[in-house]
Amino acid sequence: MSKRVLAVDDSKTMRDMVAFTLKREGFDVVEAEDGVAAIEASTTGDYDLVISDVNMPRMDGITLVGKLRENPKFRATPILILTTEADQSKKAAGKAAGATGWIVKPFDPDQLVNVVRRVCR
Amino acid sequence: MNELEQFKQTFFEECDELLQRFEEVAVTLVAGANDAEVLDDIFRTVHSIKAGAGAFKFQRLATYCHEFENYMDLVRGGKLQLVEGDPDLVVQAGDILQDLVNAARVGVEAEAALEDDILEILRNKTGAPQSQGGSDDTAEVSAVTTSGFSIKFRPHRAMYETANEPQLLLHALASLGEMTVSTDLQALPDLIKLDPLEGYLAWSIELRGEGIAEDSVREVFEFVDGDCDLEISALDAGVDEADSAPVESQAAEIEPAIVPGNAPAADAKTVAAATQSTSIRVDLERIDRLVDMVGELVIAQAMALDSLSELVDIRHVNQLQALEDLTMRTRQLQEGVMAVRMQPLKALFSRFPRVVRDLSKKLEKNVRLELEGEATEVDKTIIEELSDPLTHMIRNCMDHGLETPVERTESGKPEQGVVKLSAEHRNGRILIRVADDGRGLSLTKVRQKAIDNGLIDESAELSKEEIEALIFMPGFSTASEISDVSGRGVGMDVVRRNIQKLGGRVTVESDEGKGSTFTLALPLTLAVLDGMLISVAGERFVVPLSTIVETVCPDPSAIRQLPDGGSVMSIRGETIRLIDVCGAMSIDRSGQPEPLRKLAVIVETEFGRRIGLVVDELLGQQQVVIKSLEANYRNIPGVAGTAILGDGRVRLILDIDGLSSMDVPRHDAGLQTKSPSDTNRVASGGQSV
Repeated sequence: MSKRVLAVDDSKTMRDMVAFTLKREGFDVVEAEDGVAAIEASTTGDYDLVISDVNMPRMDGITLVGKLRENPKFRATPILILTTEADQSKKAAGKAAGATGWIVKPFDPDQLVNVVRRVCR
Repeated sequence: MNELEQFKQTFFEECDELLQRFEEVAVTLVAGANDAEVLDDIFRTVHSIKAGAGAFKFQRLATYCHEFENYMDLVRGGKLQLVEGDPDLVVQAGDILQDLVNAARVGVEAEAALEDDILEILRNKTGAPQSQGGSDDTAEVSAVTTSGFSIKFRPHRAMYETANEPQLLLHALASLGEMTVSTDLQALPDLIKLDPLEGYLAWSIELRGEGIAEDSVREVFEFVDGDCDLEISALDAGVDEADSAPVESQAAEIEPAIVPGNAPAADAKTVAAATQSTSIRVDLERIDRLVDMVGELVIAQAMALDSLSELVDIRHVNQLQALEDLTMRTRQLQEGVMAVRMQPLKALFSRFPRVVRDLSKKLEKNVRLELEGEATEVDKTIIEELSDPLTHMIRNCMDHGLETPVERTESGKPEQGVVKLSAEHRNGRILIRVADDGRGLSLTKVRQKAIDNGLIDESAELSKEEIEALIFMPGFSTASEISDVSGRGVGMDVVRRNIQKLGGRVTVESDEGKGSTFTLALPLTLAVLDGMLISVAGERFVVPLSTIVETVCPDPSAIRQLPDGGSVMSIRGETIRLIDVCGAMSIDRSGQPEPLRKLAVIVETEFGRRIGLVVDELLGQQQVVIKSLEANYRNIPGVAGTAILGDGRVRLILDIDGLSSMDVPRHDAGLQTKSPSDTNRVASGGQSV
């Protein structure tokens, strides 16, 4: 059984890149275009990892992390947030909401895989 | 980055959409709508373009977006107020953004200094340093390296709450160099006080390797900074020497994955050393010789006790005490030696998960095997002999006992059937149970089949237990329904015969619709036999206790003489052939007084046939060490072996199967004694069927 990843980003480019990189590593990737879509996806499926952008319409990434952590199903699921800058406040806000870690954009595939491997086998 | 080329097309298409949206929104901004949604929209557009630009290394575009985004972030956060002209600035900045995107798309350099003016204005507004060119890519790789690091890591509860997994962090560390880990379990409380959400474990890690940067070590713990106690210190160069020591390198090879949650890695060495020294291989023959010798010792000791007990009186209380002490020690020695032959059933039981898995596929049944009591120890010889019968019984349960998933669902059971294999010690015997939660035995069907196969008479009135026991009868399983799985021409009668050869018994208990339980009761060892000492005309014999069903004192009216000189008795509707041990063993009764009432010891043969042994007296149960008669003398029909008892005399152990098939000489001294009373049950020797 390959691991399932929920990739949340309003940018299709980023979703595609995350999906491409992780699929090559053997993950199954489900995409959601914002927090609301991610919440919907979270109710219908199980995921081993969530990677979410922070700035998104309808529901941002930090709110999404908080909502997912409230769901017992996601209590032990690693959640990574994508931040565009090495912004301590975003990282701290993400962590306070329950994020496992972060990926600083821009990233190349190796960096993404490295971080993913640190939180998800 | 070549692999990312394929996404460039998507990126530029997305940029077009974003920029179009930007234009629409910017117009409303200029028109005076500066609500949060509009500002958010603009911010996100720039943010998204920046992310892609960074990924595809469009450095100039990325830098520009970064400054623009900073500005928009401050504006939407209310930290910068939009003043006169600012909406126009945003529109202008958007135009430049469009130009830079276009330049990136066609792969030519945009006009130099195109964005500089705008950038300067933006930086002025955000207060960012003018000269800063790129994004804040400030992370510098530490150049300081050592021979390695010593890391102390104690996660807090908060670390687990963000789903950070220590094991993965250790994995990441292990990829940096040679790692030795030991787990600190000191904080681990008793199970009852354990809070499953709390972090109790801590790890001491030694990471060795050339050129490991401290920053790479710190990076591993980046996400858990503040949620754990973390000490990272460079290893002393002097310690490096120890690196070459063989013990050290051995410890470093331990797979770190198994370390968290398990014993400290350092323990692995001790374990390896321990396994080397705690077991040796010994030829079974040597052990058997030891068992034999201890057996002789037990006999010699019993003889000494027997002969001395006549002499001993109150004046010899000390000697008596010493003798009792010797008796106790001898028994302990015997038990100790027997224990050497004992092995846990685990090795045997571990074969069955596979059997069940393979078979459940074949039968298309969903079956779970539960094992219990694998640590129960049994004589090695018995373990070896149990494999076939148990395999057969498990197959039987799965094939005949368990229903198909559809049938189970229909009868309200969980789809998955359960076969449970368990073992325990009880009363000096081993009980092994094979239970299933299937359909159980249908009493009417079993009875009908036994009638059809000529095993019982149509008029026979049988109890539930008796009907269930019919499945062990030879000839109960017929060729017509032998399936590929549990058939193979082997029925439960063969299972029973194999178990009885080991001095054991097999019984079945079944609840129709709910399942069946087969129970094997086996002696702990084959070297010692539980016997019932009987006497006939002054001679003593040993009857294996496991064969005895019950002992009765029959009423003469229940006994009938047969024309061939034999006799039978009827007990609860069943006709049992009687064998006079006196006659069978050719004992001369002349001069021996006839007992007032004779007893019939009902025994069961390996084939499930019952016969009654006519004896004078039951003397009591005794554990005896079996000596082969064949090896020391020659085979005698009706005698299974010999045992030396406490009085030093050799007693014969009766061979029940041999006796049942013997042509017993005519006798009339059987049970025609002057007993007036009814058939009385006086004792029950072995287990009832």
